Amino acid sequence: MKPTLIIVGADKGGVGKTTISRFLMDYLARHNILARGFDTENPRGTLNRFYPANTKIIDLGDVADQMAVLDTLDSDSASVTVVDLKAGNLSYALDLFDRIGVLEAARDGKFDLALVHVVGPSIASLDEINEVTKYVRNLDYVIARNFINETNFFEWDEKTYKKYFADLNSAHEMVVPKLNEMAYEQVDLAGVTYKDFIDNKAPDGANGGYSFTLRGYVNKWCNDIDAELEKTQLIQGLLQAGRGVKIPKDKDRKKDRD
Amino acid sequence: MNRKSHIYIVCSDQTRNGKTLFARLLTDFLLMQGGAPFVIDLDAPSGGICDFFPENSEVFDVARVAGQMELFDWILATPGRDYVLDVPARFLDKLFTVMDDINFMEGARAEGFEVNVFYIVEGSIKSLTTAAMMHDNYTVDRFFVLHHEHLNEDLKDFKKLSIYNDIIGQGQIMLPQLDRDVLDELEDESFSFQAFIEGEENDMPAKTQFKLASFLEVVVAGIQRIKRRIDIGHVQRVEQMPEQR
Repeated sequence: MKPTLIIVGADKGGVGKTTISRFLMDYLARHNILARGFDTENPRGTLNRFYPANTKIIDLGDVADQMAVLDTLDSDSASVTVVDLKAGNLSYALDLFDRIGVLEAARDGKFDLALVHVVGPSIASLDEINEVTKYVRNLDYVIARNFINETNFFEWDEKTYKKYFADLNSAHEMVVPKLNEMAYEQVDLAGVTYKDFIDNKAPDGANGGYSFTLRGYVNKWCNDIDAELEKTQLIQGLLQAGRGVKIPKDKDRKKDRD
Repeated sequence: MNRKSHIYIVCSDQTRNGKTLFARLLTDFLLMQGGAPFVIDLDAPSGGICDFFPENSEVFDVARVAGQMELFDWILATPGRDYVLDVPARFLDKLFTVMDDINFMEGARAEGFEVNVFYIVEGSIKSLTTAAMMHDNYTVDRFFVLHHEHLNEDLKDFKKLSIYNDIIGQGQIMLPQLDRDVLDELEDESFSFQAFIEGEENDMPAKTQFKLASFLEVVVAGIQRIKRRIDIGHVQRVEQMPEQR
């Protein structure tokens, strides 16, 4: 069974890369697919704050950290590796992976590689897609159009976007719907996964005391992204490949902790 | 036997058709039955029904997420009593969409509530189809139809009758026409249906009193009929539980 490397990135900041990475980690956990994360927002690490147990903060420019990600794809018990690239790092990472043969290895079928490119509504994001296209030939490329930041329209030319999109035979689009600000802030403040927030669990497993209304909104948002994500080949492939590893149920996990 | 608490949502897609009046009457009916209903006024920011129940009512703004949190989180945090929601037509969609989005029904049921809708339908195709859409698309425990007596004229149209018949399965109440003199009396903030029904002295003209009494005779009988149905329905559900196990 081949491992999967999912790179989540964008050159522009504030478009919701970590939100999508968190969502992916959450989705995989909910579907019993064992995943690990690498957070390149060195040294702070936002993804790491929500998934401290299975996420490492790395510096992608450091060879030892590159090895920690790439040389363990086969050997790690987690079949899926999610790399959350820090803002402005997408072109750099793709160029690096191209130079050291990662992209070619994926094209040769050594492992599956998917790029989730999070794009915001600005014209700069459209230019980014153009930049990225040269790297993603024959790779799974998901363009995640993110509406999370209060913006309900994309200011770019849809015709140009569709043209880029049509030229990429392996590109898929998903729309990330908007989550209202209060719900977004509360999950962030709670410092828990989306699932734990919905289940009203604090980081220590106790009752989180979160708002029922906001939990409802987060639940709906997750359901909506689930539906979008499941349209992509990336997730269809993972689900069909049966990469699920039995994850202990909450009560068993609690027993283990006790 | 644990008695269920009830959330009564009084609403319509049309304005000025008696929602607040019915919500007031329902609240007074529940008070007369020994209950302690709390009135939720969604006519933010000013509020309307609150003027009649200053001690046990509050205005909530469902257009804002903060207002939704105040409303829904608070109801679920204070179970064990009945709530009457007076919903202006402009917030009908918003209220039900939010309830659906956050899966309020699940939370309400978990806290022992049953949600009952009283929908005032008018004779236009638009009102009837909106009522049918609400009836079909949103999950609540019961959906009751309120209609004015002149609706019977509209229901001579087969299409309208057909829509109407599809939504009245759980019960309906007819609201007789009220003359202006009665409505003027009812708009007085000091007026209480409970006090009137219990025979407290008032300075209403005898003719107006008679018209109001005739109206109440019909509507209160309708509420009693539906309340009995709700209570019996509850008993049946509880009795079914051992078999389900």
